[in-house]
Amino acid sequence: MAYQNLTQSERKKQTIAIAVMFAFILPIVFMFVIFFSMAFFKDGSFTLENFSFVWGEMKLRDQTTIKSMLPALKNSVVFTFGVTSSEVVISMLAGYALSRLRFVGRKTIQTSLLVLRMFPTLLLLIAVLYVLMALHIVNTLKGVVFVALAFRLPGSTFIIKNFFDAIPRDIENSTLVDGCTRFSGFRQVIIYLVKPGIVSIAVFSFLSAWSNFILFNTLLFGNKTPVVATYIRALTRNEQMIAPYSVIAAMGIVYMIPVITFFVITQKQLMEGNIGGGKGTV
Amino acid sequence: MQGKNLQGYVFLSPFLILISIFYIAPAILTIVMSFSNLDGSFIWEFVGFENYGKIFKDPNTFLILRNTVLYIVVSMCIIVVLDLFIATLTTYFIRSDGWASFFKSIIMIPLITPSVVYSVLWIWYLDASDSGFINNFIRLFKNDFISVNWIAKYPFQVIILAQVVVSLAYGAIIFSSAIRSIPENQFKAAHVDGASEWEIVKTIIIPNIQPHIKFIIMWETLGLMTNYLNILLITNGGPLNRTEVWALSAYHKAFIDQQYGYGAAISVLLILVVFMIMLLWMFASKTRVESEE
Repeated sequence: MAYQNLTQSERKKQTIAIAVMFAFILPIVFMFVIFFSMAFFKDGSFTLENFSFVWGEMKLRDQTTIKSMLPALKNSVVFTFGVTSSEVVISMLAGYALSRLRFVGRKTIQTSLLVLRMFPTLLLLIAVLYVLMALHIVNTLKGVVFVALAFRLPGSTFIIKNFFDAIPRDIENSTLVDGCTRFSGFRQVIIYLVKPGIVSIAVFSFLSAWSNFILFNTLLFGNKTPVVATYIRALTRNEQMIAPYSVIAAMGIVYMIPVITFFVITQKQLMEGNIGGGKGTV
Repeated sequence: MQGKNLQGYVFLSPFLILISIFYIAPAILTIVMSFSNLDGSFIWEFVGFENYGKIFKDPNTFLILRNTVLYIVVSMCIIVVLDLFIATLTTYFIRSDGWASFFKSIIMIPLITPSVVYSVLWIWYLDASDSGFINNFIRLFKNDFISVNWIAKYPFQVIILAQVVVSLAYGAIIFSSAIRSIPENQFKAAHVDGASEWEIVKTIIIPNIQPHIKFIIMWETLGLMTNYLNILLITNGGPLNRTEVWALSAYHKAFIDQQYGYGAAISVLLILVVFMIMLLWMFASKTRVESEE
C-alpha cells in the first residue's frame, strides 16, 4: 500500500487516530516511567544510592541487609547464555533435518512438533521435578537449562524449519554437486541463508531465558543458586515488600537493561509477527 | 535408504534426546502420577481414580472452575476487542509507518518486562500504603480520600487488567500485519461508494482478517487457561481463593501442599481440555495451522 499521498480528510483522521492512541498508551507509559524514575531519588533528591546492591551488601533503614546481586547476575548470565546458544544450534540441526532430509518417522515428528509447541508445559512441572530427582540433577542450574531447552525446542525448531523450507532446493543441490557433504554444505552455505531465522529464535530464546521465573521458582530451592528473578522475588512477596519500591525499581532497571538493549536492536524481528514461539511457552 | 535414515537421526539426536527425557517423559509421568498418592516422601502407591474423585468432592472446585471460566472469557473478549481497535488505528487510520511502529513498540513494553518486575509494578500502583500510586493520585484532587487496598478489594479485576495489558501486543501485531495485506483498492472502492469508516471496519477489515481473529481467540484461550504466572505473582490466588484458577490450583496443591498425585490429577483434567480445544482448532481450520502466522 502506498501511504504517501493522503487526502485532507485522511490526514485529519490520522491526526485523530494518533491522539486516541496517545490517550490509550498514556496510562501504561506513566506507570512505567514513574515507577522506574523512583530508582534515582531518595528523600526527594537525585542519587544513585539505590543501586548499591549491585556491587555489595546494602543496608536498609530498618536494619535489614540485602545481599549483593552479583552471584544472581552471574547465574542468570550463565543460564541465559547456555539456553540461547544450545537452543539455536539444536533447533537448527533438527529444523534442517525435518525440512530437507528424508527418513522414516519424519512425518510423525513434524506432526508432534505442532502439538508440542502448543502444549501447556507449565502443567508438567510436577513430573519434571521427579525426573530431575531420578537423574540426580535436581536443584542444579544444569537441570533447569535442560528443562528450559526441552520446553522451548519444539517452538524454535518449528520456526527455523519454516525458514529452511523457504530456501530453494537448487541452491542446496548445487552445494552437493560442488563437492560438499550434507554437513559441510549446511555449515558453509545454508546457515547464511537462514540468518533472519536464527536472529529471530535467538531473540525469543534470550528474552524468555533471561526473564524466566517459574522454572527457577519450582525447580531450585533452598536459595542455593539464586538468579535475578528469584533474587528480586525474594524481596517482593505478595504480602509485604521487604525492600522499598525505590530499591526494587533500581533492581528492575538493572534486570531490564539487557532486555531493552536487545529490544531496541532487534525490534524489527519482533514486529514481524514471529512471536509465536515466545509467548505462552516457558 | 538405511544411510539416509541414519543421517536424519544424527541431525535430530540432540533434539530427540532432550525432548524425550525432559518433555515427553514428564508428560507420561504426569498421567501415571495422577493415579497415585505421591507426596513429599516420594513413595509410589497407586490409588486408582481416588484423586479424580477428590477433585469433584472438594468444596472449592466449583469456585475455582467459575473463576477460571470468568477469567478466560472476560480477558479474552477484552483482549480481542482492544487488539482490533489498536490494529485498525495503527494500520488503517495511521498511515505513517513511524507513528505506527512507535505505538506498537510502546505496547510491547509490558510483554518484554520480566514478570517478576511487572507484578511489582501493579502491586506498587495499587498499594494501600503511602507509597501506592493510585491512592496518592486520587489524593491530589481529593484531600480527604482514605486509601483503598485495591488488590484486596478488587482482586479479580486487577488480575484481568494486568493480564490484558501484557497480552495486547501479540494479537495487535498479528492483526495489523493481516490488515496491511488487504488490497488498498477495496478501501478505495468503499470510499467511492460513500461508506462510513465504521462500515469499512465492519464489512472490509473484520471479514478479511477473520481467520486471524479465530487464531488469536484460540491462542489466547489456551494461554489464559494454562499460564498462571501473573496471578501467582500479583495475588497468589487470594484473598480467600477469589482469584484461584484451575492451573494455579494444580501448582498450589503440588508445590505448596506437596500433594503431587492430586496436583497431577488436576493438571491432567486441564490438559484434556487443552487437547480438545487443539483438536477443534485443527478440524475447524481447513487451512493448515502453519499458514496462520
